[in-house]
Parts: sequence; structure tokens; C-alpha cells
Amino acid sequence: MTSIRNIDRRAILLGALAAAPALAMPGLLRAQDRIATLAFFGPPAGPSVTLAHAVATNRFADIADAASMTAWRSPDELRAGLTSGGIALSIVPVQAAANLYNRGFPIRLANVMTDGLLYVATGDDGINAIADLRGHSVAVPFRGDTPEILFSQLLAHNGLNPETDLRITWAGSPIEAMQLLLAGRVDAALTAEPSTTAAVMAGRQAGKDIRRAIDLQAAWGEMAGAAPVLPQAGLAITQGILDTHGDALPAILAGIEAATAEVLADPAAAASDATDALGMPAPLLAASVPHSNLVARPAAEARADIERMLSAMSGADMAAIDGRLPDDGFYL
Amino acid sequence: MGHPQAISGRSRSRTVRLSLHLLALIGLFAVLIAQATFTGGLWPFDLRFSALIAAGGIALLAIAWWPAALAFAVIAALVRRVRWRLALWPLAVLGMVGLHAAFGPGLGFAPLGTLGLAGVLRLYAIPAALPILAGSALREAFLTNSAPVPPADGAAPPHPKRNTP
Repeated sequence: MTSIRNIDRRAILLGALAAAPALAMPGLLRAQDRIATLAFFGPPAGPSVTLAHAVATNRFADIADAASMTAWRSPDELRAGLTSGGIALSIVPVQAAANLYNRGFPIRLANVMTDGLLYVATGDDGINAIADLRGHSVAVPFRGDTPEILFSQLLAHNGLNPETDLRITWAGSPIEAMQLLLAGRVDAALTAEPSTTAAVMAGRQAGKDIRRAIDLQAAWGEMAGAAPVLPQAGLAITQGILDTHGDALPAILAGIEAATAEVLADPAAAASDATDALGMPAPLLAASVPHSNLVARPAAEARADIERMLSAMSGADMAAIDGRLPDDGFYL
Repeated sequence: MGHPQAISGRSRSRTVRLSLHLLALIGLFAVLIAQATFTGGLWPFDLRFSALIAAGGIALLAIAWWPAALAFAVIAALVRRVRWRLALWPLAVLGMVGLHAAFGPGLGFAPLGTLGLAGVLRLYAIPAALPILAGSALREAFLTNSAPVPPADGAAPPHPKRNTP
């Protein structure tokens, strides 16, 4: 048996060398704690092009063994995925995320990925502002949803009564609104990208000069006396993935930021990456990118814009978001 | 009643003519898709999307101008000579330009000034050709008593009487 008095400097040095791997263990463990599959979800619209491009260009190779991007087709599909746990990372309408958070669902907003993609499209030269819609017929989709609420507020701000001053035709979807416009059954249509781009393209082929006559972001900014931005959608993360892989969040956001810059610089290449994931034609996605106001703003930075939008669109009682603005915990 | 060989020759001639119409139709659609792609800036190229946009354009024009399209088809079906049917094409395009100038803006189309002369000619060139081609094909299929096709070796077609015992 060796006495403690017999321990010399060589033994201490050998002991330290032997202990070095043990001291480094937390780091090694972290390195091994990679995400097996980083599964992103999003709507079949502009912001999802960014995620699909980020996945296609291996932006998350440092933190995940694999990454995927899948488009959900309806808010119901999104809700079902979130509640079942099948969707943990998704681009979500900001209002929907705020509503879920306020009702106790463990979801938080990581960033804002579009500053608004709403337009009023028309082929009528006389329509260039909200006030010009007086006496015209307008197709409006998203009844009761964010775009329709914002549109109603803009009408009211411009002194227009939607029941007496213009004829509103409710449409089931932006695509249907676009079809009504192209068929000449309405004078204008409230649409979102990429449906607006589809209307412009189809109109051009038929000799109709369909254009984005009213930029709702600009009209909103003018009404609110603020920046012309509508932070409509961002990346939402459930608490489950924050608990298990929360340390990967900075890398995810950095990857999205870099991908956003690439998408804006080369929409055609990004659209080619996204066409399969989104199930939408690459030319349509490429042409819609410049009008989708794609950004990658951390949620905390965009908070003032988000609160301005939520306050205005939720009405005095804020029933649409459970009666109050989300607290600090909502913004990552 | 003709001789069986003569009837066979007429049938072959009709088949050839209808095949030519089909080829022309395919060619027109190819041009239409190319036109939609280039004028619409539909890049990166996606054949299905270009075809969809092209077909959507034709559908919108057909909805607006179907009486004119029907008239072109009927006139083409009534005209006996192929070259006259061909001559109908530019006349139909000019007719469509006139109709567009008179009624287009009222139907939601861009004014001639916005489209430009080249633009409006390009817009109606193929949509005006399609009903004429359809009328022509109908004539070939149901109304024409075509001459038989000469045999491949250049010999004269068999005379019914000469071959009668």
C-alpha cells in the first residue's frame, strides 16, 4: 500500500493528466448532445422559403444530424401538430402564437420572419389608396383573421363603412380572391403573397394589368404613425425543445439570419430549394420573395411593432389574444 | 359509292390532315408556353407552372371573348379551302384587336395604350388561331370529301371503273 507521504510531483502530474478528460466531460457531453433531426414547419408562403433554403444549404449542420422543412396546409393542421407535439419549431402567425401563449400553451416567439406580405391588388387605375376603394367591389379572404381585421381598421381609419361604402365579397382563400379578381367579378382583392404574385402573372398572360395598388404595410404605418411593418409571422418554439435543446437556439437564429440574406440576394436559387418542401412552383416563389418583406429580427427587438399590431387588431377587449398582450416570457 | 381502295385513300388523307391539325395544335401550345415563360419572366423554368399560367390566360380570354371565338370556329368550318382558312388567322387577330380596343377596358382588360401594338398582337395571335384550327379540324373530320392520297410510288390512283370486272 502506498502512503500519502510517498506521492511526489510526478504522481501529481500523472494524476492531473488522467483527470483532464474527466474535467472536460461536460463539454464533451454537450458536443454529443446534437439534435437528431431539426424539424421545421411553416406555411406555404415567403418566410418558409427562408427555412427551406437554410435546410437545403446545411445551415444547421453544426447542431443537428439532419434538418427538414415541412409545410403545413392550414391553421388547423398547425394547431393539431403543436398540441400533439408533432410540431415543435414552426413559423406561426404572431397573433396565433400570442393567443396560444396567453392561454397557457408552452410556446414562445424566437423571431419575426416577415414584416408583412399583404396587398390590395387591382387592375383599376383609379385605385391607389384605401380611400379610393369607395364604391368598388373588393374580394376579402381570411374572414375574422389578421388580414381582414387590419383591413377593416384601415377602412374605418379612412372613413369607409364596409357595409355601405364598398361591396365586400368574402373569399375562402387568397387564391379564390385572386380568381374573382381575374374573372372580373370584383374590382380589387385583398391578397397575401404569393397569391398576389400569381394574380399579377396570370393577369399579364391574359392582357390584364393587375398590380399591387395598395401596400397594406405602408397604409398601416401611416395609420399607426409608426414604421410600415406588420410583423405577421415568426418562428415559434415549444417549451419542450427549449428544455432539451435550448442551447442550440442562437445557432438556429444565426442560420436563419444568414439564410434570409441569401434568399433576398438570389430568390431564384432559394425558390428552387423550397419548391418541393412548399409544394409550390419555383417561379412563383422566386417572384414573390421581393414582395414578402422577409426579415430575421429577434422577437425581443420586434416587440414594439408586435405589440402595436396586436393592440390594434385585437380590439379594445383583446379577446383574440385572451384579453392582454403577451408578457416578457413570450419573447425569446 | 367509291371503290374500297379509293375510300381507303380518302380515309388516309383525312387522317393525315387531322394529324397535321394535331401537330399545329401542339406547336401553338408550345409557342404559348414559351411566350408565357418569357413575357411573364417565369424563372426558374417549371413546365407545369408555365403551362398552367398559359392555360389560365387562354381561359380568361375565352371567358371574355367566347362569342368571337365561336364565330371564328364556325367560319373556319364553313370555308372550303385550307389557304382561305389560313388567311382567316390574321383577319381574326385584327378583329380581336378591334374588339379589345372597343370593349376590352370595360371587361377588365388593359387598354391598348398600356399593352402596345406588339403586346396586343402577341396577346391574340394564338388565342385567335385556336378556334380557327378547331373549326378547320371539324371540317376535315366531318365535312370534307377529300381527294385520295396518291400511292407512295407516285403511280396514279386506281380508277374505280378500270378495276371493275
